[in-house]
Amino acid sequence: MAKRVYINLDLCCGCKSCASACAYGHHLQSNLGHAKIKDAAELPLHCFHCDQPACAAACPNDAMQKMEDGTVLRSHFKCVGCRSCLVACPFGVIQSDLSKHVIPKCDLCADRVAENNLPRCVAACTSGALSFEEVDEQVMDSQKQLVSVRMLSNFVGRRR
Amino acid sequence: MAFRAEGDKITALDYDMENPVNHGSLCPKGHKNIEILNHPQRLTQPRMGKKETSWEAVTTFIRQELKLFKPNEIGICLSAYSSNEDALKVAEWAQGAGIANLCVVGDPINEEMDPATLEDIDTADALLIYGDILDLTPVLSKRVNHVKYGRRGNRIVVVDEKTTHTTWFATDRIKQKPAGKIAAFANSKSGAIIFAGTPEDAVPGYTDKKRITFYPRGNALGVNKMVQNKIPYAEMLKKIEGGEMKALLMLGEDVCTVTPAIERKIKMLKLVVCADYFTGPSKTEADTSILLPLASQFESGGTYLLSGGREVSLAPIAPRVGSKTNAEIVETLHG
Repeated sequence: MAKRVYINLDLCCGCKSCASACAYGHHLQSNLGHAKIKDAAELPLHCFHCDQPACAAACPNDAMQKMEDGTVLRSHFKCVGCRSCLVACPFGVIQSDLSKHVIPKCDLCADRVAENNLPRCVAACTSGALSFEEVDEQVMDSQKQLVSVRMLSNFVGRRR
Repeated sequence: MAFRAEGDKITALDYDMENPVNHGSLCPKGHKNIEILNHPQRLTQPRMGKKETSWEAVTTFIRQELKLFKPNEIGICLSAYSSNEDALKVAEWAQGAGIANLCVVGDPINEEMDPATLEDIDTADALLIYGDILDLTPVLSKRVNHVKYGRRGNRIVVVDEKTTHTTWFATDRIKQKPAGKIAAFANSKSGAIIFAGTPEDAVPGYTDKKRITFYPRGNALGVNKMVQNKIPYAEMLKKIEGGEMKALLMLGEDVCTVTPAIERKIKMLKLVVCADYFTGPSKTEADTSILLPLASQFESGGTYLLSGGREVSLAPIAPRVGSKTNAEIVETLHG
């Protein structure tokens, strides 16, 4: 069963350790953007590795490909940095950093996962907000299905 | 923190999941250490002005130059990131040379009455946090989360005027600094204070409870403990501004990166020596400035005193790149 990175919104403290870990593991080009939600949270934007990836459909050079294990990977050699995937991504997780002349794209740290290690962002997470789990396991875990209480409390009810 | 190496050279970071303090997690500051080790712009040879030179030549030059000044015209700024051994050695050397103007670039240390340990935070029912502790020490966030979500009724009181990453986790937030003894702690420059205790402690009268202080500058606790005879950092800045200093040794870091306003005055000094990893703002332009390559903590090892009284000893794990520690630098200046 495929494993994915999950985030518990309540726990994230916005330290950006995940982005640092990603950058140092991927030749100083972070594949991980951050979203700032008013003053309530600052969350990492992980690639969802969609079943029907819009980025792969939009890529004119077939640089984005869905692999057998379900991950969507970007070929370093085929990518020309045209940013079509950036426009196509419905979740806005692909960033426009072209410092390496290619679009940064999460590869789920394939090199580490092959050695039975956690992806860099999950291993480095200081607050325990990120986890790397089987897809089905996560869905069944009712605790983690809860909408983030901490963030909700910022918008509904009192302001902090 | 663990490393992956190819031969002698450390090439990548790894995460020590068995570590009892951080459980493998690593903050952005921790990640930068690997960059210091292999950075292409890392200082590997001493520099005089813009010319590279040898250690022998530069130490001879500094020795001769220092003899031209009176001891009260020489100042030493020691970085709070130094190891305990380095700090002790530098303090001894300064005392031997009669240099009284020694300061630590870091906050003054408050005496801990009843210091809490990290384990005390795990078992606490209530935390009173002053300042943006999770920005300063993100590795602590797992423990703060454990208190917040561990048991119904646990409280986290955060004293901060601004909305910060730490106030996101507050169950109670105090925007105004409280009066009395609390204000005395709140106004101290110690960065952030965590009080670990029971819910009753989160009201005035808790000051006799356990507390743990996190300092923004590395080994500030250890360095300040080792260096007994020192002047405050602010006083050193005043002396530089007032023109009382003619020579300045910056051991461990460039003061201008901490206090940029002092840069113009430092460039006017007759002798500026700086031991650091990279070139900084005050070092590149002045012709009289001397740059010494500093060994990082992974190249030199040493003992560090951390918050909560934890003392860690690091063994050197990476080969030196022509660099020396602060202790070795002052040893060469003895003659």
